[in-house]
Amino acid sequence: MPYCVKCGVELDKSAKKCVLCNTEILIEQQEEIPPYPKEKAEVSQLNTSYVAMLITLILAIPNVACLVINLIYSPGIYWMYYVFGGSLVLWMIFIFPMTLKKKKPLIHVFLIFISATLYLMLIALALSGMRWFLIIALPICITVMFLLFVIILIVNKKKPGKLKTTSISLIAVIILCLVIEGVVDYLVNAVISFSWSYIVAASLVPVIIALVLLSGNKKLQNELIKKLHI
Amino acid sequence: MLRPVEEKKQKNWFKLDNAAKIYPAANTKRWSGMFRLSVTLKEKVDSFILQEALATTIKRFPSFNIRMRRGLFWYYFETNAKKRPTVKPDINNPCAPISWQENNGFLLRVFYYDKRIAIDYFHSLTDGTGAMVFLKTLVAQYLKLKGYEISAKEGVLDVDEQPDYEEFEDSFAKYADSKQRGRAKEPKAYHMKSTKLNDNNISIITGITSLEKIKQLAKKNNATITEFLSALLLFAFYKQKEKEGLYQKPTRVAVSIPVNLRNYFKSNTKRNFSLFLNPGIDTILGEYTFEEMLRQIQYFMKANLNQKTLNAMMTQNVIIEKNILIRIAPLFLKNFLMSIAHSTIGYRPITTLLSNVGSVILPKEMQDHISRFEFILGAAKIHTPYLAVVSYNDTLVLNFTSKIKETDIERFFFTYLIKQGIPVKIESNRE
Repeated sequence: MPYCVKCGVELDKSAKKCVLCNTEILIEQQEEIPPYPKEKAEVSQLNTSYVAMLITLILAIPNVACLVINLIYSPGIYWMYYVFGGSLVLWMIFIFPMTLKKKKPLIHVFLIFISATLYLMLIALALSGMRWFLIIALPICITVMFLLFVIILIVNKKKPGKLKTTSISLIAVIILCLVIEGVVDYLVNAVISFSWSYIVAASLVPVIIALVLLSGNKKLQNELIKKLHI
Repeated sequence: MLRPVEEKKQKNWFKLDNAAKIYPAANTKRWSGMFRLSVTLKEKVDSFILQEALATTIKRFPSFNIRMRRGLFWYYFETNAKKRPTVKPDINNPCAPISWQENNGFLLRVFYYDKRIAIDYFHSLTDGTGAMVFLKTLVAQYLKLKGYEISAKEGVLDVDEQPDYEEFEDSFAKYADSKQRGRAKEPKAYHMKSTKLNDNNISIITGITSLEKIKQLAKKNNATITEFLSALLLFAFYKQKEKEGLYQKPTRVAVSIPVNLRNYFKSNTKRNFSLFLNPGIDTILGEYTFEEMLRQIQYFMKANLNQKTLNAMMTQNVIIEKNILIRIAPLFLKNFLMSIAHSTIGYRPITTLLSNVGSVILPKEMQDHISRFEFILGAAKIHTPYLAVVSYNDTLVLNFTSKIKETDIERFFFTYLIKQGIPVKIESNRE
């Protein structure tokens, strides 16, 4: 008779390990009929990819309808872009993750970037505004994607604490502000002269330094929690 | 050997009783309100004889010989006269979901495996008491066909007898007549954190132990077996809550205990006739010892287990279905609302559930052929283990069912018994 050395319970002769604590049984096995057969009754599993497909089909209806209306009533003026691009971005943000079995944040961010950029490009094409697209939209999109990539990689690989993650995100905010002001300035004045983004940077840098210092000092953290708790 | 199926038979129909109504509404492809009773014989089961025994037995039980039909406003049962249920080899995941079409429309499934005969019942059909009578009669019929003399007593029905009307009456409708309106609001209970298993897996962990030893232990605490086991189950969940934060909301830890109303109202029905009592403790008040928990459960049970209180509780359930607005709502609307209510309000006041169908008594001639009974509840929609208890002679079988990976509750429960000097044998369908 096998017993579990950890739980003290007697186990079935066919058991390979204790179900309560996963401790393996070391005594030799005998051929015994297990308490339950192996065959299972099929139960339909919740398949998110089916749900994703269903939503995709539903999303396709307004797109096709708009395309037809566009072609019939206003040939030559292609406002269809807006509907299509918007649907594509929505699909990438919400429905694409449902088709994945495992979370893949890098691919997800990349696809959202591609679709958002494409959407903006379509709008630019429709409004013949390639200039603002190339000077403002594209650089901002690339910066956002790049920053998100860096943050995700650092968080996944290095697993910094909450404080360090916050400081990394704040650095990203500074870079984003600099880029936004730079490209807007370039579009309006054709020269880059920073006027407000360095104020953002100046106010955030001390915060970042404080957070980094704090994250390395457990004692100080405890002291702050003690004094400032609400 | 098989009897010819009688072609034309009068089709009776019944309304679903009060407790039965929720289960078809809450039924999905991945979850059904099921439970299993099984019996282990002393020799290998002959499936042909079992099939024949089933065909005769089901005719004796008008409320089991039915299929589910949809009316405009309510589901109803209709006599399933043309076909017969079939016996099948057992499966690894008992209490698998049911659909109205499968198994020739019958709402029970009979399985055999080595020495075991098992029946999965859809809960709309009956409760533990009715199901036990059916199982006992089926086994008696099986043994009779094998050539043994079995007399129809101790809950074994004579299959040649005509069924009484009382056996398939709706006892809720008959006895719910309290003037009391409104029920005590039960606070939200703690639900444990856990990892869900795949949809077609169910975790069954069986502990087999001695009834006499558990009885002695319960007696030492001045408690009945149900009270003692529910207190221990509650204690296991309390220990789990301690790990997750004793004062984290919700702080109530409650165990739901089905009560057999046949003990309080004169009824011989084989359909549903039970109610749930949800005793528990509130950890917001502080830390509890096992003994304190046991006292809480005992006081609660003593205060509520009487005809008047039970009648009032049952009446509150019955008046909902008597409401004219609910009655005239079309079935699909009822289904939609009831399924939402079931998965939200239904599980709100309970942390876990313990069902004890008690000690099985058999006619003397049958006892030599039977080694043990087992009772398995279907897994809850919430991710928590449920405990089902049944005993036969000195064998007490404790069955934990869940859809989760963790086994902390089961381990705490059984090692507690071991520490009290009670040997426990574990069986499981897990790999």
